[in-house]
Formats: sequence, C-alpha cells, structure tokens
Amino acid sequence: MINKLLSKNNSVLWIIALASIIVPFFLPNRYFQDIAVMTFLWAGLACSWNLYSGYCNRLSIGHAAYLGIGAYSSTLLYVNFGISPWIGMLAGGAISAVAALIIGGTTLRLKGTFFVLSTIAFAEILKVMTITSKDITKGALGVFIPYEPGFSNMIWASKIPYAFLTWIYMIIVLLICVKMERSKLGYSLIAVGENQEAAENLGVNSSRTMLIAFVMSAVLTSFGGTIYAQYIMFIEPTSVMSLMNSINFILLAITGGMGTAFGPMVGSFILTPISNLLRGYLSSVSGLHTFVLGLILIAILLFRPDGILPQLKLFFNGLIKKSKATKGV
Amino acid sequence: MLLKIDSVTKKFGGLSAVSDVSFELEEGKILGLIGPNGAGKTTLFNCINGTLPITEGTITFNGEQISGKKSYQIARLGIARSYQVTQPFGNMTTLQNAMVGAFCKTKSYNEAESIGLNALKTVQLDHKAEIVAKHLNLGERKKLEIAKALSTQPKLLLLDEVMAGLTSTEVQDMVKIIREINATGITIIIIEHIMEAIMSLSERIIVLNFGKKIMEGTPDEVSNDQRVIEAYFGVDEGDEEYA
Ligand SMILES: Nc1ncnc2c1ncn2[C@@H]1O[C@H](COP(=O)(O)OP(=O)(O)OP(=O)(O)O)[C@@H](O)[C@H]1O
Ligand SMILES: [Mg+2]
Repeated sequence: MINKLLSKNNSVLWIIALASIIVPFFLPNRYFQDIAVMTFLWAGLACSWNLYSGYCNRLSIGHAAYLGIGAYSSTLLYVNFGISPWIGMLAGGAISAVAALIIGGTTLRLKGTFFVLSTIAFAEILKVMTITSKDITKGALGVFIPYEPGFSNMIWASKIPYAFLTWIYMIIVLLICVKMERSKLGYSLIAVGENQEAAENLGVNSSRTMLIAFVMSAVLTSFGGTIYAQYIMFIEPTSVMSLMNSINFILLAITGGMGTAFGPMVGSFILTPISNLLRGYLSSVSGLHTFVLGLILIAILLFRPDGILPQLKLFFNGLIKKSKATKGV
Repeated sequence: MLLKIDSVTKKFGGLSAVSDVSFELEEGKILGLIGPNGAGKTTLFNCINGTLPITEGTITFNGEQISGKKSYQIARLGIARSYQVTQPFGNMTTLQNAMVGAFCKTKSYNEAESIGLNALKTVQLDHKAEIVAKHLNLGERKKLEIAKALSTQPKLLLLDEVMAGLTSTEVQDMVKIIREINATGITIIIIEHIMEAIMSLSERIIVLNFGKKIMEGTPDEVSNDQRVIEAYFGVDEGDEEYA
C-alpha cells in the first residue's frame, strides 16, 4: 500500500503533467500523435476511476458503462438532433450522474466481491441493452459521426486540437483530485477505504461520502466518453463498453499507483504508449502484443505492487536534494 | 445529566452481553467501568456510541434520545470512543488520522489541521505527526486512538483499555493525559483492567459481570465489596452465570 494523501509535494508531477502538452508538437506524424491523444485521454479516464475506486479501495470493474453513456449520449444527440457535443457532454454527465446515484445507492453498501460483481453486471447489462435497443442506438452496427470539422462539432482535421482537448480533460480531472485530497471529502473517503467502522465512529457518513465520490467518478468518466466518441467518430457497444476497457482503467491506475492523484496519469504515460507501440510493431503475430503487455504488467505487480509513482517520487526527491547539495544550499 | 442509560439490554442471539444496565453520568466526571473478561464492557460502549443497535432500553445524551441513531450521528452529537484493539487508518499519517475526526466539526482544511495537531499535542504525539500510522508502536497507537477521538471535539469520551499492554511509566503518562483531558471539561467513561490506575482516576465505578451491573460506588466502596471480589476471584462455578 502507498502512503495515501502524502502527495504534499506534487510540484514535479505538476510540471510533468503541464509540460506533457508540448510532446504532440514534436511527434513526426499522425500515428504518434494519435498515441499522445490516447495517452492523455486514458490518463484522464484512469484518474476519474481512481477518484472513487483508488481512494476508497473498492474496485469498480464496470466503468466502461459510464464511458459508454458519455459516448452514446452526445453522439445520439448530435447525429439525430444536431445538438453540439459540448452540450451532449453535459447531458451525458447528467445521465451518468443519475445512473451512478441509482447503482451506487443500491450497491455501494455491498462488501468486497459483491460490489465488484455488481459493477461488472451493470456494465454488461448496459451493453446488452445498447445492442438490443436497435431503434435508438442502431444496435451492434454502431453509430458513425459524420465528418464536419468545427469547434462547435468537436471535430478537427488535425490531431493537435484533440491533443489539447484530451490534455485539458486530464488536467481538470487532476485538479479535482488534488483539491479533493485536501478536503473533508477526501479525508473521509480514504478513511472509509481504510476502515469503514472506525471512520463512522469519527463522524463520517460513509454511505454519503462513497456515493458523492462514486457519482463524481462516473460523471468525469462520462465526459471522457464523449471526447472518445468525437475523436474516434465511430462507436459500437462491444468496443466502447467492453470489459477490456473497464479493465484498462484499473491497469493504468494500479501501474502508476492507486489512491494518489497523479498515479493513474503516470500509469497511462507509461502503459498507453507501450501498448500502442507494441500493437504496431508486433502486428505480425496476432495476440503477441497483448502477451508482451501482460508480461510487463506482471513484472510491475511483482516488483512494484504500490505502482511506479512512489518510486518516481523517491527518484525526484533524490535529484532535488542532489542539485541543492551541488549548489551548496 | 449528560448521559442516561436506562435498562439497556444487548443480545447476541441467546447471549445477553449487556443485560438491563442503568446508570447516569454527570457532566465533567470520570466514571470507571470494570468487570472480568467478557463482562460486556466493550459491548456497552458499542451500544452507547451506536456501533451496535441495542435490543431493549433507551440511552439519552444531553437530553436527546440517541439509541437508534447511527454512530456517525452520535459522534457529531459529541460522543467519541477509542478502540480496545486499536484501529488506526494505517496508510495515513498520524496527523491525517486525527484530521478525519476534526472534519466532524469543520469543513476548513486549515482548521481541521490545527484541531488535529492540538489533539496530538494533548496526547504527546505531535512529534510523530508526519509518521504513517502503521509504523507506530503499541503505546503510540493507543495515544492515537485517543487523539482521533479528541479531534471530534466530544463532550463525552469513551476510553476502552487505553493502558493495556503499556509499561508502568507509560501507564503513569496516560493517567496524566486523561486527567488533563478531563480538566478541559470533557466527561469520560473509562474501561480498564489496571486497578491502580482506574481507582485513582474515577470518582465512581460501575462493575459489570455477565452483562449485569452488580455494583456502583466510589473506588473505596467497590474495592471492599464482596460481590466484586467474588466476580473477580470467582465463586462456585456456574452459580451466577445463568441466574
Ligand atoms: N459482535 C458480537 N457478536 C457476538 N458476540 C459478541 C459480540 N461482541 C461481543 N460478544 C460477546 O459478548 C460478550 C461480552 O463481550 P465484551 O467484548 O463486551 O466483553 P468485555 O467486557 O469488553 O471483555 P474484555 O475485558 O475481554 O475486553 C462476550 O461473551 C463476547 O463473546
Ligand atoms: Mg472489552
């Protein structure tokens, strides 16, 4: 376990997060820029997931559901009624909030495995419903978003605006998490994750605390879902709401460090490029890239069960101390 | 009266862990709660602070009926407890542990920090403020239990064996700390097996045995009472047990 809430000195991580926006400008072509966009997007998504599951120590393996709600809400409003995805994004957030209130209100009290299973069940049910409600969602065929570039359509020819959009999304989620870490909500949430009964004894309303964080997490994930749809410009239930997507949230967060604001970002900065590059380079043997990715993950879990972030912090702290020493401070 | 316990019974299946217990407690006092292992002391604390729902009876705090309320509501009304088996939030620092309780009365981070720090100072743990709680030793953990409870700024503090396992110097330390806390106006109920300590601290003592209150009186009265001596040293096996 990591020392949660200890992210007192986040300056180096903030510099990494803020400076990362220059990377897409130096990338040679659209292929690499695409990887940058996906890295920012998944950083934001994993941080959103972490806001509930990481801090509260309760795995949700169904966050693809909220990704799907965000993607489908804005897309269907745009394709059918010409409503701007910016507004669709808010609509998706509202629908996700209601869904999370209902799901969370009934399942957050469940302990351990039962909660985990209920999150998977919800995502799977939503996926099946999306496939069968053909009249509204076009079912398994999926929905194409017509290519009409423009800011109000959230569609651009170049990858750079998407990089900006996904980066801003990531920064906003990070700001919310960092703010939460220094608030009553954050302290209560982590305390509940550590020991629910002891937290209640100190005046923490655990059901309310968990529900607020769960809804926040779902809404932020849903915003990412809208951006995802506008970027890919094609959504289908089996890919957006796949179990693979649900698991990806967790992999990134665990790799970087669960329950810390910047951990999931670090996870995405490392894993998303690796996974995309492997897919590119190892395409000759099908499935080989997943195999190699799996080996990397096992290695991380074996040698760094707390994720990479704590190690990274030690490294930076060492550097800072060294540079101070050489300057004779 | 700050606290009124009226015919409280707590059953676990067939077992009455607390059985028809009544007593009252005035503001500002220290009340001792003693009894052999399994007498129902901890269970009584769990009933008072709402961790366990009671089976029968009523509990009134500050003129308000609290039995039936949830533990977080009771904490906000002003009752805090320490755990016999310490329950630190292991991955949070000592100060952060205390701040969780402090947020009970404030929304401001800075205020919570100063309340938490004050609580740590009271139990002389402020030098460990930045230590992650799982690295504390037993004595420090016991102190942290009290600091967490104090940081909720309670009117009534329930202390469950905060001296168990401590060295004799640590026990003396703890007695001093508890006196200081009481001097700030906080009413205390204290469970303790270390007789010297509890006799010197408490104004009145209640003795539980098999869930029943068998005696209430001053430390002197209690230590000379035949029923208490029997409860601790035993009479004929089983005589009292299912009476
Ligand atoms: N949650 C529970 N479920 C079932 N039985 C319980 C529970 N908690 C306590 N008991 C039983 O109730 C009785 C009283 O236990 P309690 O912990 O209150 O005793 P105690 O006076 O605090 O003892 P000690 O001095 O050993 O701490 C015991 O027989 C115990 O086994
Ligand atoms: Mg006990």
